[in-house]
Amino acid sequence: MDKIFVSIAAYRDPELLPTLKNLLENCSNPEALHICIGWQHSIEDDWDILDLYKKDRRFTILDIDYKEAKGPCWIRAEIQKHYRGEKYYFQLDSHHRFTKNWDITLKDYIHYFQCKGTNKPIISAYLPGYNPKNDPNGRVDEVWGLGIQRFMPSGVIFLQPHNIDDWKDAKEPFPGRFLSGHFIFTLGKFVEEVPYDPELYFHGEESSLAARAYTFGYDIYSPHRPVAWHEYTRNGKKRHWDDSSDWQERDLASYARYRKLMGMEEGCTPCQRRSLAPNYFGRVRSFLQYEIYSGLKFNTRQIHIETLKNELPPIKGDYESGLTNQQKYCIDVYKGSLPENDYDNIAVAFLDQNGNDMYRQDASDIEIKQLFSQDKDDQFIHIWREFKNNTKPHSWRVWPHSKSKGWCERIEQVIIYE
Amino acid sequence: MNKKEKILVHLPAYRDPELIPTIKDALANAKYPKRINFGICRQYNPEDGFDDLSEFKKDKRFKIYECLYTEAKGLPWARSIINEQLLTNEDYILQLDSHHRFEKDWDETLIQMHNGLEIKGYKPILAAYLPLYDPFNDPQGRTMEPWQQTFASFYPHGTIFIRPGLLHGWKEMNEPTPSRFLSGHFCFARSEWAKEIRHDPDIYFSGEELNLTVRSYTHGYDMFHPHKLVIWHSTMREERAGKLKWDDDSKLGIEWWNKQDYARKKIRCLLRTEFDDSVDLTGYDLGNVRTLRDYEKYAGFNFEKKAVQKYTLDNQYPPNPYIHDDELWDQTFMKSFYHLVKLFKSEFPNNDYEFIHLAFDDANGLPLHSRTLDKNFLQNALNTPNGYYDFEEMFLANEKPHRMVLWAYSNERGWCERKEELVP
Repeated sequence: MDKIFVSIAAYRDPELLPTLKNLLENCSNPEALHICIGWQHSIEDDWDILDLYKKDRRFTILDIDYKEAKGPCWIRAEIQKHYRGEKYYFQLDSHHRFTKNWDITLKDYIHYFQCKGTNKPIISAYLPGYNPKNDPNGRVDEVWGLGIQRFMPSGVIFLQPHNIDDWKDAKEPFPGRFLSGHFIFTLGKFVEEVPYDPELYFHGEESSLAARAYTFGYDIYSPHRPVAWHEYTRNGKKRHWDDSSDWQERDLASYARYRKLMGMEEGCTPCQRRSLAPNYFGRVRSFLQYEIYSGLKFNTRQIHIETLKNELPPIKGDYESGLTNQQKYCIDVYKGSLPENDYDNIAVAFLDQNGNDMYRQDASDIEIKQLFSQDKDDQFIHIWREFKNNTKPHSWRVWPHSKSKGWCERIEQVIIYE
Repeated sequence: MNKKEKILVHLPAYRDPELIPTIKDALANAKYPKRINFGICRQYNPEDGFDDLSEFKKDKRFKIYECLYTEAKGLPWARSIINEQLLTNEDYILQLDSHHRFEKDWDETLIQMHNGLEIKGYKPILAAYLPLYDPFNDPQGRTMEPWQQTFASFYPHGTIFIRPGLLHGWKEMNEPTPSRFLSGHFCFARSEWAKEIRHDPDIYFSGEELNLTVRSYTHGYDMFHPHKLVIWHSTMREERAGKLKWDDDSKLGIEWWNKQDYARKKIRCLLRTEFDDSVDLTGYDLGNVRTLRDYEKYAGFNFEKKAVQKYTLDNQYPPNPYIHDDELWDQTFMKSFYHLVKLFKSEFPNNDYEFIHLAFDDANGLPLHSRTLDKNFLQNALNTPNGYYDFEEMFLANEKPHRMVLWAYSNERGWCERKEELVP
């Protein structure tokens, strides 16, 4: 019997029990599952009691007080320690719904590419959403691709799903360039070859894992049909960074590690990288091959035009000449520093080391209305700007103009790239 | 180990000088020679003088059917004589040709391999393209690594060209490994197999192995390569030149290729790629334990499309990764293409070509297959009496070829004469 090792990372999640029930009910052969739950819970919570499964030999439950939790990558690495040579590896969060015989479908996808000569396929996606309060009616009948939004100032790639309009005409899974932490199905030996990095915190997990897998010879695909759903909203649910006081510190250390390992620090030689994390990358393909395949250039933070347009990999055109100098920033301004109610213009500019404007695009009264009408509970407004330039800006400047009071106080902030 | 379990060594011998050395070597190397029986179909010419079996005729272990070579009706016929008339109470059958050498204790080794698989629930048949020995330089001339039966290509008439390849990874194996094909010259199984899967006398040499393979598999048998050296085989081409069945047939005015056409048609009917009421498969049809599609999924073939999976082409061991969804499975195949390439002297009139590049593109101009026709080849091909040379180019690709290009290169003139044609 070909077994599946199922990794479920759960953090104080009321959806854990419905997810387990749905997973088992829709599996064609539940006896072939070995489910390991990273059960990060509070004794005060009553919604994620696992008594039903504690004596079930198919389950391994890691009983962890939520105060001891050290983030999503850490828990996934802990779960992987309980892998026992199962033929397949299935990584999830703890809030999902599944299609009937999801196991047959996912194995079919793996075997499909193997029959076509791909030794190590890996299936991953940002799953379409479902709504726990309105299921199954709230399930989104779509297939999403996984694209890049931007290199964040920290250097970490921020991913976002994009629609695939013609998925119903597709006859096979799509090639992909990134992995999604909440949904990975592949060969079991992935756990041994590309083990989770517990020192990454959250951001960066998915792009670094994809690059590493690719260098070990894995080929990434995303399903062309909805196979499962994921809950994105998590309204009112506890997440690790809500409870943890030191998550920002963790995140900074994680960013620094990411930049070093992904070749984004000038001073860090390949040799130092190897001593920092031996066997982090494989020898089947080079890191450069991943960059060319995916249309990314990490050390200059450049994105290929095809990658920006969410075209399927590999890059069809020339790699070097297709790299753009697109930069994308999100300026968060505290609403308390914008007290007037009659702004008609906000000058938004990015400045270089010498304080000269590199790029300026003002917010019109229409954009201003949108900025202030977004989330009433949010204490910040978020101004997004994209521009092309070879050098990174040193700081940004936001200078609001009020109809009644004229130019108000300027807000300037240095951009922190760490 | 039960010493009383008997093996029938199945030897169809057509005017073979190696028959007697084969028998003697089998007995000399058996752990328990008393349990070894021989079923021999000797198709002889009294003038040959090298295959006289008189010395064995009083030995109860020998069951011999003899006929003049002029009365012989082909290899499957000879094999069916042995299995239907000479095979009686033996427990196992070892189906061979008649030119072999044996490893010490081969009988014990084969039974152990077989029973190890049987305990796991298989209905095993051990089958191999045996490594070679040289009758004139033995044992020094023996190949010391096991081979397997591998897919080479589809023939235009729909059967498969099977060829030997190294049994890669054999040194790390501790048990036999699954196989896609049986082998005509070496199969070891329970004797029930030989009684259930009868040799079809209509299948004249070519296609015999594919025929037995799909019938055995659909009857529920499981095919394995032995993971060790047990027996050797000789191709016997040179020393038997002029003494092969089809050579004799042509001398006697028998048109064996007519029989070949019918044999191929019969296999196409067995593979359900042709339907013809005049072909009667009774007694030689597929089994009903597994379906033909089960075999196709196991081995990575689509007989209807004459198509193969890359996994199979890469010689990875079966079973091929299993795909439940038939629509998805159907999309996994590379297809075989054939194109009759004609080289005209009038189109390539010069004598200074270094090579001609032969290429096939798809409708978008992307390359599907290309090959270089070198100087030596061109010397013959461009100097034929009738002014042209043709050959069938076969290749595998995911897309249908759209265009063929022949482009000559000369050291002095660079890329020169070029010919392009659309592939119908």
